Amino acid sequence: MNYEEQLQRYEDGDLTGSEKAQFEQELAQNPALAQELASFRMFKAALVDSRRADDVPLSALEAMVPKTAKQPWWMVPTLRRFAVVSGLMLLMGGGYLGFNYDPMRLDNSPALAIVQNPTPAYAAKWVLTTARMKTPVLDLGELGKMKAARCGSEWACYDYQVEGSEYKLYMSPETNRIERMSPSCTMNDIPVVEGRGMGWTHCGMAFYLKGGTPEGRKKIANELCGCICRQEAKNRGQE
Amino acid sequence: MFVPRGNRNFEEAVRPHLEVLYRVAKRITFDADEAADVVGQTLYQACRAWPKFEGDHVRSWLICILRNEALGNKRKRASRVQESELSEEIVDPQATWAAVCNRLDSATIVAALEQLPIEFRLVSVLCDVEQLSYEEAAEALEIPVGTIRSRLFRARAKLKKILSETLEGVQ
Repeated sequence: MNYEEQLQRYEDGDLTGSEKAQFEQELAQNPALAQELASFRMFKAALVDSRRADDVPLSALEAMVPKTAKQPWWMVPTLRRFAVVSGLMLLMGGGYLGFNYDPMRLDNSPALAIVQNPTPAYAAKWVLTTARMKTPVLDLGELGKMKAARCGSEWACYDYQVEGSEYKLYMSPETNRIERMSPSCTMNDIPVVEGRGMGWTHCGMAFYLKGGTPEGRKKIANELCGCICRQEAKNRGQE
Repeated sequence: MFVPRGNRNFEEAVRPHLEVLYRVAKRITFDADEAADVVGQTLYQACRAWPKFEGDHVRSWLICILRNEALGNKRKRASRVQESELSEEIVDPQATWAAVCNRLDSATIVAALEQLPIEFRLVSVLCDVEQLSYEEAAEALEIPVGTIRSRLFRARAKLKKILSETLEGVQ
């Protein structure tokens, strides 16, 4: 081990007891070595100080921290048992209780990441980079505003606010659930199925709009289908 | 940073490390927007893997994910330089720390760091800038502690050489 290596390992606290004692003895007798150690310390301090060169966008980073990663209540062992028993009872009595199962629902897994008040273009880019899912830019324009974009495992969701009501548009590559249902109408030539929400598939992706009022959903679904078709036409033109 | 095992909340566990993640991402990507994107991807992947995480060093684990996300599998493979190749780095015995330490500013250091090969740069950024222990850096980069030690020594030597040449050029 040469002096340089000894000096660095001494400063890093990486020398053994005897090596350290020997080096300190050498330091006491060698002013040039002591000077070099002092300079090395200044160099290391300057490296730590170089953190200031980066303007960290902390609030933007904090917004990217997934919000729903806390252990869900049904994962807590005691509550879990209770949930299983309740679930079984509900399932058995579902028919009598009018349990409203929604076959079009795309996914029940919790959101892993969320971004608030994005522009539709940013939301599409964010979903692409975060969940690696290509979604169209879905701008409702004058009709309403996007309030949030969320990603889960194999799904994404855009939250819209339209005329005081909240709507959620779920998107997923899992299209079977909607494709096996009979469409009740078409919007911009896209067959649309209706249940508790409105669903359709396009280019290998399922869309499911829920929330708000039935009239509101129809209006929004129509706008979104138009948006999807316009983008597809534009993309074809570019090709 | 050590976080005790048990009922750890993901959000609370990762929040203290956001600044470190961003700076490390920026040293890899050289671009502020891309660095933020990489941090977002890292958080998403980390959240998915969180239930299976059993380690003690959350920061190292996050940096490990970030490095893999930033470099991608292809570039990661390309950057796995053989240790023998890295050993051939020349240490300039003439340059002293005294010659470089007096006129250093953050921008000069960052510019010099960005000239280092990626694996040297990461070791230097983790150990010297972000003050990770050798063990934490070894976990983050998935290499042995001994390799961290030797690579850090050579990274510093190379940095000293770059800085002394830069400062000579300024004079």
